[in-house]
Amino acid sequence: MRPAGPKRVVIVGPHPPAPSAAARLCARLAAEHARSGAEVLTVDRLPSAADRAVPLRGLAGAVAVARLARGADHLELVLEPCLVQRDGARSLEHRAVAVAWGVALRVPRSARIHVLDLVDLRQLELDLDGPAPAGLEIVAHVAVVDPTSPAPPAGDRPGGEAKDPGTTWEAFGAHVAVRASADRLAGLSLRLPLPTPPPTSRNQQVVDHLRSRYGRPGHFAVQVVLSTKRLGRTVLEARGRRPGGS
Amino acid sequence: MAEASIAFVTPRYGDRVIGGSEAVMREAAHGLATRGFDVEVLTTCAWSHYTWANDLPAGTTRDGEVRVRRFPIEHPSSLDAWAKIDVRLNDGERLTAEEELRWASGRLRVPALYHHLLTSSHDAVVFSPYLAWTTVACAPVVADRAIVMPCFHDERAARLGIFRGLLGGGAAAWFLSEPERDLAASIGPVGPRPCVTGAGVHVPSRHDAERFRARYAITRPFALYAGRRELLKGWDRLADTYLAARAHLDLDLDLVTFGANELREDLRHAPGIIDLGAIPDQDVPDAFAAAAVYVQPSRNESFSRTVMESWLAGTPVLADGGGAVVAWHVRRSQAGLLYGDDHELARALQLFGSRPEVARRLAAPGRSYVLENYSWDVVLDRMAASLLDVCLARAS
Repeated sequence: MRPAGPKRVVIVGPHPPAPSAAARLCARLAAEHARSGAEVLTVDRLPSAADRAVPLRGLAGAVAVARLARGADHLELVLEPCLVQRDGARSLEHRAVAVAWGVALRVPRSARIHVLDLVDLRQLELDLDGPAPAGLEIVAHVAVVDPTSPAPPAGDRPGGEAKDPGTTWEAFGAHVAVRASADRLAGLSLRLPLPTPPPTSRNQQVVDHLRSRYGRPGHFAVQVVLSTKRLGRTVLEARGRRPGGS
Repeated sequence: MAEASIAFVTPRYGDRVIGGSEAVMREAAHGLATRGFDVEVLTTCAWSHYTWANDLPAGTTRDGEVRVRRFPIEHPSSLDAWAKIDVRLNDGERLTAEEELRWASGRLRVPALYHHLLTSSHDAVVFSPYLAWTTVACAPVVADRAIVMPCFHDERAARLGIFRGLLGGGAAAWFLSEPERDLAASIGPVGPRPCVTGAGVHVPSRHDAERFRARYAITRPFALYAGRRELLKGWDRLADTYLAARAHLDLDLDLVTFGANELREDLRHAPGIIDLGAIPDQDVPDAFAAAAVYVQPSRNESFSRTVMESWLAGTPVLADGGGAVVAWHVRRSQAGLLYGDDHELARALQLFGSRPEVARRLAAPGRSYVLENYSWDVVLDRMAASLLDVCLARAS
């Protein structure tokens, strides 16, 4: 039996004053949970507005999150690529990290992983070591370049901010969900060649919806919610082309 | 708008607090409260910006019509890491994004204030100054209601990436002058409702130069400097130039100063320099009235309240022309002189010492300039209009 009291939520990720979209998302999530009456614990790998600053990279990070999430009802993990990227680690180490994160995500009653910059992340790999918990969601936030927006000064871009000239994040919070059933997840590839519209019919629907909503061609954001109910091993991959790149 | 609820978020608050931004925030909070706004101040338990110690109790108190809520500061176990980055920043080295974040949160943090804002329901939240952790870390939480009064100076820190999006993401921005607004636009995007509010100054009911002279036994004509006696404010350069001018020119003028910080050791007994330390508030207008000229050597001003106090007292201003804001005031008011280098400063001091009638004539337009632009009634009108704009935009 869970003791009576406010819902306990742990939010892990970059927080203000980081000027990134990830930090704004963490602040928004914290505000939403706090307003709903939850008891919120915020965690960052750097000193910030978060309650706790703990190392979050690699195996130690996964273990730290598992500890912090013990007894929590819900975990929001706003993933930074550096937490799970290989960074030259041997495959055994990388496997250990993937397993540790999988375990950490099982600790709370429910968890959501937010992935912001798929172009940077390239691949997210979590080894859940068995069926995924029913309460696990992966939310991919994809910002698409607006070729008409002004680029920041060359060589003078804010730390942690979108790295591509012309990338805008105003429509970041657009709530358009593409839901895939669990057994189709592995077959769903999320391909968003930038800045042209994604080729799949499903993504095209999203693009059309956002275009009609914001009325600004080439400027949209997509939030994709992937349920992983019966999936044992989750691989979410995004292939993007940087603006001006080949 | 009588029911509109406004919060002012400032790193320090109280009548003991020294600081331009903090003073404006306190006066604005009280002024808007008297106009019917429901005003709350959210601040820390510190009053010293040197120690940032939690000297005041956490919790809620009242300061007249203003509700004051204080939150404890959390300090790191060591300042070594922060200090190393701070030195590099001041040396002009480029910081990485991670270093900027470690610098911004490396000296102090106020997570309890951040948590409080997560559930705040204020119609608008005013943050100042930009350098404060309470601004850069907390404004994003209430971005759709945030009004940032940055008090920008053209300094290295203002160009850091962490501050670049500060104004662009908020509901409005308040600037103390047009040059500050222009500087902000050169730093990063400015939000949807930029407003040059200025800062208000209180108009003293009287100025009594003779009372000041008698009280402090000052008989000779003098130039005045008031404020923080420190390198960044240009004090050291002023004192050194004064001593050089006194040694080489026929300078019939003392240099009287009062304000925060001890004087440099070699200046404490220097000829002609009279340090009054901290003086009572009621003596300040009299000091400005008694001075032959007020010198503003600081280039790091976003408004310069002392310049306004000088003009209200009928005293001309001699200012470093390299400071965009004060130079803007001097050019607009035509009530002072600007100097470009130490030689011009010395010659101008000589002029004010030898030709008091020129000084008085020069000062003449200053008082009306202040009354027309920076009396609190005028400034509060601008702030209230901006607040109304933000509240209406949210409601719609």
